[in-house]
Order: sequence, then C-alpha cells, then structure tokens
Amino acid sequence: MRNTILISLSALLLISVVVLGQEVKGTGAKLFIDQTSFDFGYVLGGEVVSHSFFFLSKGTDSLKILKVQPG
Amino acid sequence: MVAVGDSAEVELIYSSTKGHGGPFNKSATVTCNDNDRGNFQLALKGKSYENPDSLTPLTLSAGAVTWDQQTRSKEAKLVVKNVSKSALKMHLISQPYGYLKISLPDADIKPGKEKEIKVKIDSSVKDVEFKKSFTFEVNDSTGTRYTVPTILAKPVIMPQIQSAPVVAPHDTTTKTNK
Repeated sequence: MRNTILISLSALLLISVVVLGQEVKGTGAKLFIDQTSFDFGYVLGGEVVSHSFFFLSKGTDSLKILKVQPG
Repeated sequence: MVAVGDSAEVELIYSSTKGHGGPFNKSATVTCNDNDRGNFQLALKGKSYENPDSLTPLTLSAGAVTWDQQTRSKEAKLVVKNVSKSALKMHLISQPYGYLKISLPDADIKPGKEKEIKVKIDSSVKDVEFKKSFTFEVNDSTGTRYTVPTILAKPVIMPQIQSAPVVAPHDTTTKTNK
C-alpha cells in the first residue's frame, strides 16, 4: 500500500514536471479573445457604427497589436 | 503594448453607404506578437436600411441620435413601435464603454404599442465630438438586432466678420459758377 502511494506520487510529480516543461516552452505573448465577430443587425444607411472587441494579454510577455488592416 | 494581465480593445468602425440597403459583411485582419495565434480576423455584419419606419418587428422614430454642443447635456429619446403580433422585450447587446447612459423599456412592448429608449451622454465624457453606436436585440424568433448611431456633432466655428471702415458720403454734384 505504502509502495503504491509512493509510486503514484512519483508519477504525479513526473507528469507535473512534464506539463510545466511544455508550458514554459510555449510561452511569450498570448492573446485571449472570446468574441471575434459581431452582428450589428439593422443599421441606418449613410451612418457610422462601431464595435469594440476586447482582449486580454496572457502568457509571459507583453502583447503588441502590430497591425489592424481592413479585409 | 498590453502588459500581461491587462486588457485592451480594438474598435472597428463601419460607415454604411446611403442608398444601398441590404446585408453587409466586413472584416479586419489583426496581427499581433502571439506567435501561436498568428494573424486573425475580426468580422462585422449587418443589414443596411433606408427608412426606420419600414423595419420589423420594431420601427424606430429615427435611425440615429444626434446632439450638438448646445444639446449635449440633454437626454435624447427614441420611440420604438412594435409592429408585430407578439409582445416584445428589448435588451442591450453592446454600447461604447463610458460614453452613454442608455435606458431601454423594462416591460414588454405590446403589439401596436410604443415605448421610449432614453439615451444620455455620460457626464464624464469630455470629447468635443464623437461617433459611437449601441446595439439592442428583441426577443422575437430571430433575435432581431438594431444598432443606433449616436453622434455628438463638433462645434461649428463661425468665421470672424471684420466690420468695414465707415466712409462719409462723397458729394458728386457738379457746381457751376454763374
């Protein structure tokens, strides 16, 4: 029983290290955004409408929006 | 640059063409330094219309709300009328953060009845002019949405009129000596 617990703990520690290793490898700036499209519905012709898409900076480096281009 | 843990926004602005009613689909490509994400697209869609009276299931008394520098502190009212056969309820989908105070009718709008949407510029807004919009949705079978442009018109600068110098009238009659 004691041996089983020790083996389980070791396995758990090994898995944690491996997972952590993978996270460290894939870091840098990370953008999280939950909405990438918006439906205005009815819009009066000839008028200007706008919508803001909010995002979060995650990861380990600051996020930079380098360019926003129509199309 | 957005620090880790902070949030930011990308505002997309669409100018619809007058006289060309119908659906539109527009997109913008965003490039950032998230190497796993690469470029990604933000999409906008909607339906341009010409006459607020022609909409269903709600008609609007006006397609946009406008203030000028004299009226900017006043509450604007937009009348919506339910032209469908079912009671409808409205809820706000999107509004420009920190710009407007929007009050939609609390209760259902019964068929054939009218209610008011009240819109006021937030007292903290210092902008001299802006063009923003808000979107609401009704609970009909298709979740019809309406986006209302809200405009604060920029101050009109009157040209300075300089007064011309006053010139005494000149006597042009010919005098003859007899």
